[in-house]
Amino acid sequence: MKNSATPGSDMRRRNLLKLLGLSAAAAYAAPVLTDLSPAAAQTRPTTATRATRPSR
Amino acid sequence: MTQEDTRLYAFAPLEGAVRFVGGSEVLLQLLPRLCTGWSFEPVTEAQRLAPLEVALADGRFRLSAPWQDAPVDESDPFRAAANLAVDLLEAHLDEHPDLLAIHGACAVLGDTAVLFPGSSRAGKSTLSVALAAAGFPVLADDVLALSSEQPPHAISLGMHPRLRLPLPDAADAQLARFVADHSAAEDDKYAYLALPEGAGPSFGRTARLGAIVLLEREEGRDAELVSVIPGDGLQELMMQQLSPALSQADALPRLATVLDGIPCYRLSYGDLADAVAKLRAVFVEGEEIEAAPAPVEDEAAASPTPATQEGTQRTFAIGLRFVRADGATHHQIEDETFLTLGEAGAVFRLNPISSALWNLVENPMSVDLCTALLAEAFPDIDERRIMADVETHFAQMQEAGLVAIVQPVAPAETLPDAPEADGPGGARPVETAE
Repeated sequence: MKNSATPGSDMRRRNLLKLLGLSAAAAYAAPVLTDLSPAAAQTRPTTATRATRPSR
Repeated sequence: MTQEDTRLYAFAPLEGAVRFVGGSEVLLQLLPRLCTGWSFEPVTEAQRLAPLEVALADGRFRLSAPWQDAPVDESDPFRAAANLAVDLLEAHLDEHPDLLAIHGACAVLGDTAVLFPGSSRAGKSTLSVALAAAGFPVLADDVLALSSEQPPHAISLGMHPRLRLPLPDAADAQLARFVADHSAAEDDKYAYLALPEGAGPSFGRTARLGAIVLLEREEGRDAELVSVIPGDGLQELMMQQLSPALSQADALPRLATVLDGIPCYRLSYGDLADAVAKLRAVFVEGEEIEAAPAPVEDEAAASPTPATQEGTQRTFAIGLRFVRADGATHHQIEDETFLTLGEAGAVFRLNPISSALWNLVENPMSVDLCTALLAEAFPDIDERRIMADVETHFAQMQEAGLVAIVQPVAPAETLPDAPEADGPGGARPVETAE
């Protein structure tokens, strides 16, 4: 990290990451929201198993 | 149908008796070929009835239960018995909402149970049988229960493995012979196996949960087992949880508790024998597992997004603030957050930066302030890129109903002086309208 030259800036970044709920090892990547909802999921409770059973 | 046509049967694991009408109890003769540990006996009366009825009329079996969209109508006795086995299992789960039902396979490797969650055709049944053939006890090939208490245990529901025919190319001659030797029945699609006592699923058999392994089949690939982040394990468990009465919002904290401290891996393989050898090497012989790759900086993020290069295009008005919508429950697991929203049970997974934004909008926050905080936390990343990402993301969050807009603030907004070395958590910046 470029701005980690001084203990003060290190400390501030650590606290900032804590504020963001991130660990010190966190890296930047574009924020991603993944929908795991039933409509988005390939399989769903009960039907998932039933779909593999004979005649269902 | 008359009262004389009805027979009641008590099943050892079930509290309620099951009604068999019109001679449909003939299916019970087939049940031991499909599951182990489900003992049953006729009773003349019952204090409680399971919500399950099996009827035989005009040569057709009809199975009715409240968890079915429509009654099952089947002429083939074996298929009807297979459906009855599933319904018994569902009746048991219906009686025990404390259990977490998971769509997945499970085998005992070393001292603990290894769970392979997965949807249909993920290869879990074939891998289960390959593990059984190699001498590892199998608790389930398709569905099993997890106890919620710590440490979590995998509990077999007693359903025998069932393999789709023909066997996949990944199966070698030894496995094909094992299947042929233990086939209890076959129809046009499946082979139902009856494994030797102690080798296969038996109702109530338990083992402490030791690991979650996600399966990834790829033809020609050497077997490889690598660590994955817990969020990958939790996502798969959320996708494969089968508990009939459990909402996603209720399942989330319970599955997260189960996962706490349980390592998660991904097994990539092309050949079944190779996969079994890798699992044996890691879980029985103690071979070291490859560490999860370190997070990689998003190189593209260091460059400005074309749309914002000129610094003039904004999706949202300056000063517009966002705040978490009501009704979302969240659970943080390491740097990620899982959310559930509303009665319908919408579930979302937020990657680390999305999770950071979610943390920030606990109080009303603008795109500009979120961008400033992220830019300070990640000084190597172009700030215009961050702003474009934040704007795009808030638009998605708003569309998903996860955040709401609050009134704009005056343009005098400044970056708060909060995150000094002031102990755990620091001070949370709160934007206030002037």
